[in-house]
Amino acid sequence: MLFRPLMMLVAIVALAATVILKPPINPTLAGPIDTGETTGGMIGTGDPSAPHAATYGPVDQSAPLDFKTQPASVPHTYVAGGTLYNVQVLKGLGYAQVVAQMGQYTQALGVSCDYCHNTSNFAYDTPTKKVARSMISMVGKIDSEWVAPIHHDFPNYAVRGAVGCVTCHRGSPLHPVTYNIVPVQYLDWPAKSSRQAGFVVNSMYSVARSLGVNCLFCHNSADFVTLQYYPTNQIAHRMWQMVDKINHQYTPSNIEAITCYTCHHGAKWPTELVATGTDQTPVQATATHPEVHDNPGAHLASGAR
Amino acid sequence: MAMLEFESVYKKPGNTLFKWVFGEDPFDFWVGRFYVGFFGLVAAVTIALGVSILFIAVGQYGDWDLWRANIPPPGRSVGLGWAPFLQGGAWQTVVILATLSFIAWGLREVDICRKLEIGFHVPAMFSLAISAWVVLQILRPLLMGCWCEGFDLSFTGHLTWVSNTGFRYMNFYLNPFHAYAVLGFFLTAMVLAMHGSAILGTYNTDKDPNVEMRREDSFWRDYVGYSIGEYGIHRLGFYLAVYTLIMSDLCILTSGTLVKDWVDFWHPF
Amino acid sequence: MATILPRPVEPIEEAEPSVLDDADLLGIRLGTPVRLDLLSDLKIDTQIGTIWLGTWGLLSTVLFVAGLGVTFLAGMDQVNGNPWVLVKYFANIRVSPPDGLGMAHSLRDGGYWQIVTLLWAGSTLAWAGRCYERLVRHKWRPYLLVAWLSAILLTATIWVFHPIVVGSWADAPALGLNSDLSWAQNFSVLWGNLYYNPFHQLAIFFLFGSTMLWGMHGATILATGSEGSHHEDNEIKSMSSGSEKAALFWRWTMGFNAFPKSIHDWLWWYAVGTVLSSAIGIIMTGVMTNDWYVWGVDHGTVAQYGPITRSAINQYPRPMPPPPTGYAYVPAPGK
Repeated sequence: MLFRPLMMLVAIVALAATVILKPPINPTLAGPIDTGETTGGMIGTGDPSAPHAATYGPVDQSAPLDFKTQPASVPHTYVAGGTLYNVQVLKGLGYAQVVAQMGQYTQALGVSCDYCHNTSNFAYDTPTKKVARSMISMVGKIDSEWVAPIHHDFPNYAVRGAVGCVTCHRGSPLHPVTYNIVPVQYLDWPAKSSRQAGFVVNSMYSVARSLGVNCLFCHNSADFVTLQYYPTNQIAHRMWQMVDKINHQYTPSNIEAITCYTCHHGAKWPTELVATGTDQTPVQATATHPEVHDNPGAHLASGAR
Repeated sequence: MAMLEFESVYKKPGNTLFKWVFGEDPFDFWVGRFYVGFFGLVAAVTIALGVSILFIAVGQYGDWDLWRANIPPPGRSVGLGWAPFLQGGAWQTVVILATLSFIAWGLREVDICRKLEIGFHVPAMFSLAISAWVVLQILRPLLMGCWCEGFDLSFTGHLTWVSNTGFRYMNFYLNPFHAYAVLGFFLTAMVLAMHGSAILGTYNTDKDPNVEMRREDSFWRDYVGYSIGEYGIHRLGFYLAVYTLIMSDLCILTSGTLVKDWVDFWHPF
Repeated sequence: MATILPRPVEPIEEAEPSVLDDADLLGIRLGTPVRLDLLSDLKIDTQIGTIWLGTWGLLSTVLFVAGLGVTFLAGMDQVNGNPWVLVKYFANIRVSPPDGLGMAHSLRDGGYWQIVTLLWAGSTLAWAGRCYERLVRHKWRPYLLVAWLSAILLTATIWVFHPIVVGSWADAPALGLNSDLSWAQNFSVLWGNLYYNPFHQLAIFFLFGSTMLWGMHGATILATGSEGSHHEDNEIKSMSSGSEKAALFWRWTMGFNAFPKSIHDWLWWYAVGTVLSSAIGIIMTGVMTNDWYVWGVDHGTVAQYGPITRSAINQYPRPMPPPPTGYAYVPAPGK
C-alpha cells in the first residue's frame, strides 16, 4: 500500500521539477538560437558581423593633425578663450553658453573633453565630433517633430521635460546595450502568415517590456488588428516611426539599433529628461496626468463597455 | 411522469444529511423524477432568485441579445467592497447566489448518493468543478484585492475576459500549469473517444451471456500493447478529469499573484 | 508491492488464432506478456503486452521514427551541431514551414518542416490503416476508426488544408515546444481572435463537455462499481443493481439519465464533436472571414468595443492602418 502515495509523490515532484528547473524559453528570439556564442549584432539574429557597439572615441591625442581634410574655418593654431571656430550646429550661441553645453554633454555621456576633441586644437574636426553633431540635431528634431506633436494631440499624455543626451546615453558614451529586444526592423506588417504574426508578437513583447507594461496598455485583445484606437496605440505608432527614422538617419550605421528600451528603460515615459533640446539641465520627468497611464485596456478585461 | 421500471425499489425516504443532523427530514420527497431534499429547496430558491436578478440586470443594461448580454463585475475602485446594483452589485449578487446554488447542488448529490448507498465520487468530482468557479470568481479576486478580477457574466463577454486575461500575462500558453491542463483536456478527449468506441464497437444486445467479452482486451493489447480493463478505464477517465481540473485551478491561481509575465517566467536564472 | 493474502495467479490472456492474423506478412505479436502485480493496487489490468506489429504498424512506426530523426537533424542544424545546446534550448528549437505554397527553397527555409510533415502524415494515415485492420480482425464496429480519422482531419486541416486555402505554409504551426504554443496565440492574433469563431466556441463546448462527461461517467461507474456496473457489456444486455442505481442517481439529480449503452453514445459524440468542430472552425478561418471579431460584431454575437478600422477587412494579407500624422513609414533596409 506504500505504492500509491509514493507514486503520487513522484508525480508531484516530476511536475514541480518542470516548473522549478525552468528550461529556457525565450520567444523573443526571432531567428536562429541566440546561444550567447555570437560576438554581437542585433540580438536575436545571431548575426555575428555587426560589432557589439562601436565607439568613436576617445580621440587619439597623439595623432598628427592633418588640416588638408579639415573645413576651411578650422584654424591651424588655436588659442582657447573667447572665439569659436568651426561651429556647425550650435549656431547663435555665445562662447560661455557653448562651453556650458559642453559641460552638460560630458556629464550626460560620462566622458571628458578629450573624448570628442583634440585638446591641442578644440576646433579640429574628429569623427566623434561628426557623430556628436548628428546627435545634437537629432535631439532637437526628436522634440520638435515627434514629441511636441504628440503632446499637442494627446495632451493627457504629456510629460514635463524634453529628450536630451542623457535620455539615451545615461552616463555612457555607448547607448545602453539592449537586451531581449528585437529591433523594429524585424517588425513586418502586413503579416502574411502566423509565422510573420509571430515576429510581430515577439516585437510587441519587447515593446511591452521596454515600457514595463502588458499588452492591454495599448490593445484590446478582442481584436489586435482592427481595434487600434487607444491613445497609447496611436502614440506608439508615431514612436515606432520615430525609432525607425532615428535608426536610419541619425545613428551611425555600424552600431546597434536603438529600440524603445533605449529611452524608456522599462518605464512608461523616460525618467531622464532635460529642460529643452538646447538646455541639457536635468528635470524631474513628471506626467501632467499620471492616472491616464494606468492600463487603458484594463476596464475591458471584463469585456463590456 | 414516467418512472423507470426498477425505480420503485429504490425510491424510499431516509438516509439524508438533514435527517442525520436534525433527526427528521420534512424535505425528503420527490417532485416527479426530481429529488428535492433540503438542499434541493435551497438550490431551487437560489437558482430562482439568481435567474430573476440576472433578467432584471440584463433588462436594466439594455442589451437582451443572448450572446451579447453582459453583467460586468465592479470597477477597480470598489476593491473588495459592495458596489451599487448597476455598477457591479448585480454581478456580486448573482455570483453569491450561483455559488450557493452550486454548493447546494453538490450536497443534494451527496444526499442522493446516501439514499442509493453508492460511493460519493460524483459529488467529489462536482466539487472540483465548482472549485474552478470559486477560484475564478471569488478566491482569485480576494487574493488580488479586487472584485473586478472576476469574469463577466456573459457569453461573449466572458470570452473577451479570457482573451484579455491571457494577454495581460503576455502569453498564457507559456503558463506551465495551463499547458498541463490543456494536455489533460486533450488526453481526456482522446481516452473518451477510445472508451466510447470500445463499448459502442463491441456491445451485443444478444442476451446470451456466453458471448465472449475478451475480444475487448485482445483488441487493445494488439493495438497499443495494453488493455487497462473495464474498471481501470473508468479510473483513468476519472483521475484524468481530476488532474485536469486541479491544473486548471493552479494555472489561474498563480497568474497575477505569483507570476505576472509568463514569457519572462522562463527567463533563465 | 506484495499484498497480505496471496493473489491467485491469473493466466496470461492471448488472442485466439484467426485467419486474418495469418494473412498479414508481418502478422506477429511482439514481446512476451508480463504481469505487473503492483498494477492491481491501482485496480487496473496487470498484463502488459503483447503488441501486434502488422505491416501497417511497421510502416507507421518507421515513418514516425524517420520524422523524429529529421526533426532531430533540423534541431542540430539550428544549434550548429552542439548537442548540449540542443538539450538546454530544447524548448526553443523551431522547425519552421516555408513561406508561400510549393516546395521550400532550402532545408533550413522550410524544407525540414515539409519533410517531417509528409513523414508524419504518412505515419498517422498508416496508423489509421492499422486501426481499420485490427478492428476488422476483432470484429468491432468502426467507431474507433471514425474517431481517429476525425482527429487526423483536424491535424490535416491545421497543417495542410488551411495553409493551402490561405496560400501560405507559414500559417501552419512550426515544430517545436515553444513555437507550437506560440502558434496558437499568433494564429488567433492574426485572424481577429478565434474566441469569436462560432465553431471554435462549439469545439470548446465539446472539449470541456468531454472532461465533464468523463468526470460524470467515471465517477458514476466508480461509485457503483462494487455492484458490477463496470462490466458494461453485460450491463447493456441486462442491467444489474449498479447500473440501475447509476441511472437513478442522474434521473433524480437532473431529471433525465442515460443507460449503459447510450452514455457511450454521449461520450463518443462529444469527443468526436470536439475535433470535427475544430476542423470546421479552422478551415472557415480565411474563408468565412479573415477577422472573427469583426464577423462577430457584424453578426451580432459580439459587442463592439470601439471604432473598427474597416478598410482592412477581408483583405489578406492585411494592409497596415494608415499612420495618423501622415509621416511615411520607412521600410526596413534590405527588405
